[in-house]
Amino acid sequence: MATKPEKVEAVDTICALSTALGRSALAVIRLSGPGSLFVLQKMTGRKEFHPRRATYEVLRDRDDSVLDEAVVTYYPAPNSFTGEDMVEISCHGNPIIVEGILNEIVSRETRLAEPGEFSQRAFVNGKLGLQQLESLDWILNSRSPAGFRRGLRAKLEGLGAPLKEIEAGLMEVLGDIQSQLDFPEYEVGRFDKTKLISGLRSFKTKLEASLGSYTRALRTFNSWKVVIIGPPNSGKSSLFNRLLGYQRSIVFNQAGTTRDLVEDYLSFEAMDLVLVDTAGIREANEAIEALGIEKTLASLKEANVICWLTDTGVAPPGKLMELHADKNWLVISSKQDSGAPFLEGSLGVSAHTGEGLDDLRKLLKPLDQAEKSDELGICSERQRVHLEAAIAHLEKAAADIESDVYLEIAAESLGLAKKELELILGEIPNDDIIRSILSRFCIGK
Amino acid sequence: MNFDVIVVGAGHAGVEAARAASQMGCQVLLLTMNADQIAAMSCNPAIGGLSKSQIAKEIDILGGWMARVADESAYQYRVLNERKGPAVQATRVQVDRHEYRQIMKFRVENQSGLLLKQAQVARLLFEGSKIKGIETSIGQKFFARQIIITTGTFMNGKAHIGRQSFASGRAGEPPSLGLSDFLKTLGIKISRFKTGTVPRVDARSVDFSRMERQESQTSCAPLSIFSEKLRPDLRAAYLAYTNPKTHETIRASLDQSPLYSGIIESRGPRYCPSVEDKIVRFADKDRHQLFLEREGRWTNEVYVGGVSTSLPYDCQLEFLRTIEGLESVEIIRPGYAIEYDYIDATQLLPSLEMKEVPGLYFAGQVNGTSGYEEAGAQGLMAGINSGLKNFEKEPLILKRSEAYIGVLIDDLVSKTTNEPYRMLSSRAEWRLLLREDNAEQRLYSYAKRNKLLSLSDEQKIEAVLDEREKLHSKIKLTRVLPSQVINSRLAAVGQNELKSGISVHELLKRPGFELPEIEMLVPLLFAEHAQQDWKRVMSDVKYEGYIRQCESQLKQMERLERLKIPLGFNFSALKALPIEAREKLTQIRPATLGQAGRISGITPASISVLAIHLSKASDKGACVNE
Repeated sequence: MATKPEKVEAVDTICALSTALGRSALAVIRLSGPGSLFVLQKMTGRKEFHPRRATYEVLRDRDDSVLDEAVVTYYPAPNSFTGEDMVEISCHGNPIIVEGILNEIVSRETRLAEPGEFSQRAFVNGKLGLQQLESLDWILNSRSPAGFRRGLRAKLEGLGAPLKEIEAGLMEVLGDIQSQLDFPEYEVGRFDKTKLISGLRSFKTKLEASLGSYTRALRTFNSWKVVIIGPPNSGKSSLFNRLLGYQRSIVFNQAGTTRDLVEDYLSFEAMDLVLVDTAGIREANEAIEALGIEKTLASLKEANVICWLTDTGVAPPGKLMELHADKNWLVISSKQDSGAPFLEGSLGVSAHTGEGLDDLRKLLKPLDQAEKSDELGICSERQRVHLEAAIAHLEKAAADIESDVYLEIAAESLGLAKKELELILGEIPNDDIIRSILSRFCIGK
Repeated sequence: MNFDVIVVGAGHAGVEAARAASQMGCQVLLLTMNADQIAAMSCNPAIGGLSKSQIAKEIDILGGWMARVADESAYQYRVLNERKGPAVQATRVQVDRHEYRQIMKFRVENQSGLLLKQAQVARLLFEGSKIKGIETSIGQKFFARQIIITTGTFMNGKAHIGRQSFASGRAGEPPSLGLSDFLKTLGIKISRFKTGTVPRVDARSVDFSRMERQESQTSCAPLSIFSEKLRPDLRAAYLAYTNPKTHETIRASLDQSPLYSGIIESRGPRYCPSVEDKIVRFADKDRHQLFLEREGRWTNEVYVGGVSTSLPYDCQLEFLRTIEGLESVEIIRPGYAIEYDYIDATQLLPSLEMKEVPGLYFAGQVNGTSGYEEAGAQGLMAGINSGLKNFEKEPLILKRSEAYIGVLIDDLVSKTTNEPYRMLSSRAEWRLLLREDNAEQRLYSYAKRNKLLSLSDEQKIEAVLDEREKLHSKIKLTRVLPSQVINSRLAAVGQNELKSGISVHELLKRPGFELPEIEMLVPLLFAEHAQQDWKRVMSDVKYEGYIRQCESQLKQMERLERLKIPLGFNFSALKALPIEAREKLTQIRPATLGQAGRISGITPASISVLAIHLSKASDKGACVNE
């Protein structure tokens, strides 16, 4: 057996541009690793840096040419984001300058970071927990305020307290059952079956509410899709263009002009929408139009909001509404500036004058619901899977106790439920978690 | 004289260790301070009980003597948790402690390859850093490359009764002095625990007619798979109860208890509390159950279960006499507490060999456990592993999913216990797999591979396994048709009635269908097989779904167990780990990532860090893909 002591690989120094690449007032470059300070010293010619104090410096390359002027901050380990020595450089936000600085840095035994490597290092060094790592995804990539608020809440508060409360409740129930099994001679307070079952079901209800809030939140993570449909020539493309603010779709005074789906992003109030213009729905005249109509109908499956546009006061077809009853429907009467009929209960707009468009925007704002504070802000598919499993085990346990199955079998299900909660919290070592972390190390985020 | 293995101490651990090693073909020397006290039962005269009968049966399948001798010396049988499922049911055998000791002694004396000697070990002998043998207090020297220490409570033992204390290994016997001081010089970490026992009273002074009589069970299975049937001369035990007067008496004398007056500071077992502890900790209970068991057929001494105490003799007598039926009781031997040296078992490898001193094994109560079964199990494993080492083979490490013995030893070597360790079913995360009724399925292959059984014993086990398999296929083939009987039974447990035929196997899966129902429905098939075989098969069927669930979880867990940590891995260089984690890992030196995760105080985050570093260090690079 090999007995030679294992050498732990020395950590190298990494750097990356932390702000978006592009022209802007400022760009932030970060370094992490044991060589960070050395690089900074070389580029500034200064030896001493006050920990965590921003200082103005002129950065030069090894030929002493000026790269840029910048504000630099040195964070000695372990009091930094990654837990390693770190340097943060705020320079001018010109990609040419940024490239020059990065080139100089990587020439000094530093390499460009893999995607997500800073947060991985923070995790390995115990600066970020598993849940916090998972919540970063929501904070950085959410397309809606509700989405990143959820991420932020999960990062700041974690799932800890509310989930631990449920876990503690489960522990108590489990403890009662275990002592029935291990110390039957003591018969401590012979347990009350009905109370036990209702307790388990109340844990289950709480977890289910959290699962529901996650499903709702997922819709706020991705951009909402708003599909505009209606009879041909009802003014869909005009409205589409007016909302986007430019002539994206061809508008022509002939029914059946739009044949394919036309999509574009629309940002307002810190939120991204995907707006979709479609072919008008009618008995098609030619094969190609029929294909377009087919596509329109198919696109409804993906929609979050369906806008039915009419310039003749016709309500959306009942069959279609029935088929997509789970979507948010908006019924709009178009061309209100030119005396088109108004459908009772609809929203009147005019793409030409802009009438009613503010009201439409308000209605388009997705359900940006505030979460109830007692719901768990779970933030990843991994957590969802464990939550669902916990709910299933709890139900099984309650049902088993109800039908007087062997007590140790109910205990088994309860133990499994508890284990799932611990997995969400990252409280027990688990092969899957380790794998998922390792896979991040392989391919980056 | 030269031996392969020397076992120091002939208690429950020692005899199993000596038997296993000699059975495997080693020349074994067993040393005891008193050859009349082999496998003496210092506390209650019983083998088995919850989670303990499982261990006794595991020992049995691996060739150990404990269960057989319990059946041979049985006084009363009880099945505990009868109304719960088979995984948490247990057999408890009260034995005649004198017969038990006598039979064990006889077996030891007649085991080939095993020599018994009465001697006290003073020190271990080394050749350089290698262990070579032992020297006794009268200067005898015996040589062996493997030494197993099973000294129980004897090392620096000190008994307490009230404010009196005296050096003692067990009441009436001297302690072993010097050995633990010697072990300390080797750098072995030693601490102190306390335990206690109950007063023994004179049967003639007890009015049994005013107590609840508890007859022996006569239809249950013997503890050992090798015992044909129960002894015919089984006896009753008696139940009595403390009352508020008893509690008042005890409370009034607490200041004279060494436990409460600060004389004993060592920790005692929480799950086997003294009566003083019970009164203090469960102040709201107005009575505690006592059970009175005669210690044997040829004695009037009665064990008063449930009142372990170290109060002064007068107080013991006074509180006993407040109990109904014990008004004029006479004490033969008072209860007492005992403090003793134990070693921190995290210094041991899972083979029970000391990490720092190769060839030196520790087993039994000296490792900080409580209970005969826990001791016997460790003795057995230390014996097997010393034998394997003698023949230069890899040690046998039972998994947590294979045996309570696996749980026991894994817990001992991974976690520092701060009270005497007693087995509980809740410690075994796979307890549905670890049943009394399937020990032979779990462990027979190990027994066979390591030649732990005689040929005739092997044949007996194989016959049981065969019968079980046969019955399994029969119940799948035999169908029953819907009937009034079945459907009314189904209705009674809230299930839908049967519309078409169903196999006996399917029927057994349903709640409310147990052996009496099966006997009623298929009497001929039922009569073809022994009750025991039916019980085994029924519990297999009842747990089927859960066992599958356990097995799929196990697979997941085992991936962690397969991530081996190289011997000599430098944990202290892992700066990303908290200092406490680095220290713990360096001290315990887990062999796998799985074991590392079970060390108390090691967080999952630390395990992740460890996994990342291990996978980086391995040749395959950063990924642990399979």
